[in-house]
Amino acid sequence: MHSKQLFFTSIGLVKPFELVLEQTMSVTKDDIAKVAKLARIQIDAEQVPEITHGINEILSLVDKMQQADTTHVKPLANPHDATQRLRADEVTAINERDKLMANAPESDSGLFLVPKVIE
Amino acid sequence: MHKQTIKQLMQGLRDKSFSSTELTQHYLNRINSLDSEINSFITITDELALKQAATADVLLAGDTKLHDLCGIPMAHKDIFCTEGVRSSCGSKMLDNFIAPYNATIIENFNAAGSIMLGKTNMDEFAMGSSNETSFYGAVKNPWDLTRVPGGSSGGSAACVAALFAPAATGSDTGGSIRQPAALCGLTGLKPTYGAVSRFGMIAFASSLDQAGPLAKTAEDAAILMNTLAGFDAKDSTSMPRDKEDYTAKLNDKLDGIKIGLPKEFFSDDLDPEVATLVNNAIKELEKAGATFKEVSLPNSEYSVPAYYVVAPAEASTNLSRFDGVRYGYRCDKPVDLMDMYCRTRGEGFGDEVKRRILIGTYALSAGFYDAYYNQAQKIRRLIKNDFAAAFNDVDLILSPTSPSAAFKLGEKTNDPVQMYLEDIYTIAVNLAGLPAISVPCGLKNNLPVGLQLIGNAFDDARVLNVAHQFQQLTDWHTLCAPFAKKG
Amino acid sequence: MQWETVIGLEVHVQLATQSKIFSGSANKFGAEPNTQANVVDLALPGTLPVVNTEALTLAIKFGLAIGAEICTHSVFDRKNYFYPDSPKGYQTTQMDYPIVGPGELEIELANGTKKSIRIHHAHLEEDAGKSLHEAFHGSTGIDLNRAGTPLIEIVSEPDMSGPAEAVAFAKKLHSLVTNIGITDGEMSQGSMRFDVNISIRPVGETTLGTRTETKNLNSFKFMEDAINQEVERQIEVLESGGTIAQETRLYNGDTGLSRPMRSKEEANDYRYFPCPDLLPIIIDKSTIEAIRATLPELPEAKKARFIADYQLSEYDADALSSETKLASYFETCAKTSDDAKLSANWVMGDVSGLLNKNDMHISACPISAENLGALITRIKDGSISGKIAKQVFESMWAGEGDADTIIDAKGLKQNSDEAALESMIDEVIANNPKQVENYRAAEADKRKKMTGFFVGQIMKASKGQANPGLVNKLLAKKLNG
Repeated sequence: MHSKQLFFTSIGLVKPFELVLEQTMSVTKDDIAKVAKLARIQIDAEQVPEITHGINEILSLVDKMQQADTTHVKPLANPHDATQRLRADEVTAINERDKLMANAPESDSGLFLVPKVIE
Repeated sequence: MHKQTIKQLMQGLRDKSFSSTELTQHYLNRINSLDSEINSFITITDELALKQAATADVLLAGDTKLHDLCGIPMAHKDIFCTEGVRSSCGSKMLDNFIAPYNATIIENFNAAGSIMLGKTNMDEFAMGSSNETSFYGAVKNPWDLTRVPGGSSGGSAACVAALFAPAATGSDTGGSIRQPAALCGLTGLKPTYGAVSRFGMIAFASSLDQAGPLAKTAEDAAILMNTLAGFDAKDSTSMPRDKEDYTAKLNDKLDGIKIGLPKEFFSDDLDPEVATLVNNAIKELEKAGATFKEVSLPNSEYSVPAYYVVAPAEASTNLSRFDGVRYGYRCDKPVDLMDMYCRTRGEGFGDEVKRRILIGTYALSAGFYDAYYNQAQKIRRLIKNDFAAAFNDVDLILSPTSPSAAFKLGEKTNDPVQMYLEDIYTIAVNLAGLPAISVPCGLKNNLPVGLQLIGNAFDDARVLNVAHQFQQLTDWHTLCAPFAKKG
Repeated sequence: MQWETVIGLEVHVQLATQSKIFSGSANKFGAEPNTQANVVDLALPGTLPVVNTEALTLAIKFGLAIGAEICTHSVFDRKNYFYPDSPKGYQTTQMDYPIVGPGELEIELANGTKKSIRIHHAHLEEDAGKSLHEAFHGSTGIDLNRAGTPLIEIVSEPDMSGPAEAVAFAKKLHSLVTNIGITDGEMSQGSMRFDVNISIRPVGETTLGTRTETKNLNSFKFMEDAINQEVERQIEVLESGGTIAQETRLYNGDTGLSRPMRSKEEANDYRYFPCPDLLPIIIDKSTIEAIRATLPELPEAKKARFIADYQLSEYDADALSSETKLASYFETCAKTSDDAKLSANWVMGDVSGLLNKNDMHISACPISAENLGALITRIKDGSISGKIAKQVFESMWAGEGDADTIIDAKGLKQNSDEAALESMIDEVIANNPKQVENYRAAEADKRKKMTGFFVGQIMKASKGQANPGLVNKLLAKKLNG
């Protein structure tokens, strides 16, 4: 949970909004490599420049957004501003392990298997 | 038989002009002999379809009250999970995925006794506007085989336009039903967000995705909506509303109806031929009693930028579950866990999907959240407010569906931004969660052009009503793609 | 250099619901792997979450119990990270708008003073599955039965200054959450797990040192040991000129050793954002008040009542009120026997002693509270002596039946027949003329002590069943005669 403090600190430090208005947002090849790792997507080194270029094109399209005056505007996460419905606390699922695990790339004794994890 | 609408086929089945088995076999024959040229299906479910048709024929022979869609063949976009049938979402990642459960809408169609002919081709994970990002190859437009059918529901649109099925389901996150409907000369409805269950529809952007019908007529779309729509307790974003009859208002007259024309959508940038066709449509509606008024959606210029933050951001985490652990593709011989994740996702996803995951990951990452994601969500509210203000003055809003007609295969594949601008008239509707339909309004160089009608939230029936009335005045929707004349 | 320790806790409490937080799968410990994981728990494509109302209710109950503000508007967020036991690739949790706002919990220190520990907030989230690292060669097995188990994560402020305070806080929290019935509290099954954030700083320094987080401690003893070790380690590092790395550490209860966690080494960016599959949770005041009305008596209030109603000592009241089941055992026993003081003595003494010796919880006690009450009744009505009662208690523990059955079967009923006792006394007086003579010659104040000899002889003759009170009375009459 201390990651919460961390998260806010980093946002606070960067103060992205004002900064961004002055310099147009763009990513470097290093940024792309970092983001790709965060997203667990392997990218061939020779593809990185092209991908970086493509993403920068899109970011410059997205940049227009910064011209909109959104002071005092509340973010809208759901189109209808709806609220959560609650479910009764009832067990409705039955054991369907064999059926649900039939697509598993690798399994044994009712467990999904992955390459050994070292904690 | 294959030229008939659902409404006509319903009558034919009840009159015993043909059986559901004959009808189903007829469509299967067309698909099996002709789809190699269109590539609209990823999976053809012959056996299942004939089994379902046999069951439907028993019901049709009996005297129980029949559901409208009993015995009617359909094609379903491969974004919906179908139990026991591959549900690939157009991706290598799910090429081997046999869904162990049905999407709610599939359950609805099964309960209605409709027949599933197969699963249609689509842009990978619904990310695309030309159906060229599919792992299963591009789909060709039956109006011109060198052109795209639009996307992401390109397979669904092409298969209906080729008369391989009387109708198909699609999904629309930024225009993915309406734009292919426009480019293939069909009627396609994106319902109000929350009207149709998302349970079992493989998520692209949860707050924008909505399933809907692609059909030959607005009347067919309304009939399909009666099965598609309805509250689903399994989807927290499904709106608890009474069951609605979407066909009830179809025949309401247009006298006194007020339609808004957003000035931002009719600027000088609009293709002149498209503008002419849309203006002709306006004249037809005026003749029927509708009045028109200019309205303004001042923040619509921000809709494409906001969309290309919100949709990739949500997609980037929605697609995290494709990790090679429980189902789907896993890379060969991973050396460790990190290698398994990165190669599985690097090899299993195509370029466009990877591009959007990267953008979305970037937009949500520490330091950029406020500038990107939060700003986009604020713009969403502005856009919603724009529509709300407009709907104080008018009942519906009218615009083109797409900037132009179908473009050439490969024309925009190397220019993502040009591709994204295909959805310039459709995206705001998703951001605001509104219902909108595309109906054919003419031909440009022998290619169909679509007209968009946008309604207020949960006013889907009125949107269908105006579309239906327009189709009583015009016959653009009855035009047939040249390819469909084959067989 | 003199160092001081700063400790904050993050406590995960599994909520005792029937079904999971976002799916209809059973929330039960110990099932065969992956038999309690449905399409939602496995994060199959297209599946969606729906919030379990009971999970929300239990979280609110906790908030009310610590006097915290219940947030009428709370939001579920996605915390994005890849790990095989996290099937969606994100954990659904609460970040900016948790359900429970700031509160506090008072702990009592060894020297009797009290200290208030602030709770920053508590939020709802889902548990992850389990990774089994030992079962397969070269592979890790994933069991998703636990995935989606409702949790509250309780986050304290860094208000504790050493292992004793941390453990006192943990125990107090355990007592509270089991008392209000939001969890079974079975720590060995992971129902309550502690992450300990530890840093040290020179005494007098006001800024915090770099902290480490030791994760997933599931016993108070491990927690104490892990804190002691980590504090020692940090002192050693700093005093030898090193710096503390901000890291996540694992403590192994079997070996008693701790080490940095490999998989958490790289700094993560969790990309929190509101989960678009879930909508904001809005709770009205009347719902909160309805939940408040279901709150059981809290330990503090119970303790006060025990002192007022039963005249128990502070110490006894504290011990007996700390746990719901123990408190209700005591109260049932006191009601059956109509003697709170004697009941408290028995529950705190013989019962707790044998439970501890056998490593048993009060819920597994072989003697029911009613049966213990019946035994105490027999002491009070003079049927048996306190000494015989101990013998009956042991037989009851061994499962030989209830108090009356054992007293009858073994003929342990106290002899209160005056005539019979008188003849026994006469016989003892007749057989011990010398002792009688000495007694009668002695000063009155010495006589009392000399009575013991005669009582002993009579008890021997009665095989211990003579009513000691009656014997004393009759004997005094005869000797002083």
